[in-house]
Amino acid sequence: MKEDVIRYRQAISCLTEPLKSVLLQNEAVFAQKITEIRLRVNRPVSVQCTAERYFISNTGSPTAFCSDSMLKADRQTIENVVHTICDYSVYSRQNEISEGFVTLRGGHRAGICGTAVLSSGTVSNIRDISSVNLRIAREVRGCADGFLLRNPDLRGGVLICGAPNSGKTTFIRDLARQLSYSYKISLLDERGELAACVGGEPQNDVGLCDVYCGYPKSVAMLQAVRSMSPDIIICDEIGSAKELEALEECRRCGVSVVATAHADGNSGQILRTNAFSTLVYLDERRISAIKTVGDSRAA
Amino acid sequence: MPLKIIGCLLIVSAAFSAGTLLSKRLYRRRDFLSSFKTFLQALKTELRYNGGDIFSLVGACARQTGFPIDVDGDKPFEVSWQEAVGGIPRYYSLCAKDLELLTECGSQLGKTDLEGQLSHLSLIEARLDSLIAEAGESIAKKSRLYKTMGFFVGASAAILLL
Repeated sequence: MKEDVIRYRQAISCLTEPLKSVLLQNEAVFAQKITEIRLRVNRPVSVQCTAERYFISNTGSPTAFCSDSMLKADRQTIENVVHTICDYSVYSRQNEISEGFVTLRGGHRAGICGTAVLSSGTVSNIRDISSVNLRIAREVRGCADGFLLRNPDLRGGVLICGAPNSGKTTFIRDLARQLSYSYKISLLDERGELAACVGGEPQNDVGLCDVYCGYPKSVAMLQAVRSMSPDIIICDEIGSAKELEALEECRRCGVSVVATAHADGNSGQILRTNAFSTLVYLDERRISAIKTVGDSRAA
Repeated sequence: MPLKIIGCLLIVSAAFSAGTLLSKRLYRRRDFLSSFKTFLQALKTELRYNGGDIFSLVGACARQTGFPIDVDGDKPFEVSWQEAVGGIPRYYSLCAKDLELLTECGSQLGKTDLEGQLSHLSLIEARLDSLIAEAGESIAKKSRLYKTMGFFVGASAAILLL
């Protein structure tokens, strides 16, 4: 069976009837191009594919147009889906829920939003969940091949920059997998997007990486440097002041960092840490440019 | 005559055994409810310090405390729990109130955050305490009564036969 179909079935297994049957019935249409399934209380279910968005009619057929006679998700459905994605153990996913997402087997993620329950100014829980966004994980093995061929030695540090949805996470995951067979890699997966560990087992193929799952990146960087003696630390979406401090510490200890950052990554602060020598720009899931920090500063 | 005496003795002992059996049912119910309480306490501890999924926690606590419930991980937890409650042998002589409390216990397990789970279990435990007390009272009131009644019914029948 094709990997796309396996992943699709795995992702929709957390949905309840009749939605699950309808999506299974439309497997041929969706399996290869689906990216998200969005459930909103008493609103039509929408299926986001790479290029288009579909709604499901009451008869179970996909349509691009939204009308009153669409399959809707009621409150009970949303509640049941949340219970299923938490393996009927909401209490054990409390930290993830308060962060707004739950990682599923297979590396898929369910984004959750509703009414925040605040405790000492931070979100401690979400009640009255109103939307669930099921994001279907897709690994693109080999997407970093071209880059690695041109830049085989990444020990000067690499910063991968791009807008949201430009493919940074997919790229860095494949990079981590490939590099893990040549270097000692510590993979910092704060939000469960890279390795997507469930019960300590990475759901995505990250090769021989040592995975720090759920740690704040700044803490994980220091712990990795102290305890795992990595050649390279790989992490997603850096930017906070604490993370930049930890980056400097990594540089001082001679550990290289491969990281991603939103937008052009040229805001200066990240580059001032001197932890990166190469900048990779992604656009629409492709490498649009590779520059050295010197080029970038000169420009 | 000796045969008659033997027959009478058999009748008396059979009636007494019936009374004892009825009395034992009361003890079995109380013991079951007590083991349910131990199970709840173990579950609270596991929830606080382990945080694993509800199927494995319930399974582990049931094994630890000898509480006769077995949940099937292939179904939604609530359905699985209800089936497990339905499968509790009649041997334990549970009444409708006991079964209702058991079902209610499973209906909320795993559905809320940790605080919610602990409050739910405390509430169930408080209600269970009153059922255990009631079972204890039944034993005090009825256990000896059943045995005595058994003996006297047997004895009366024997006297009539003689």
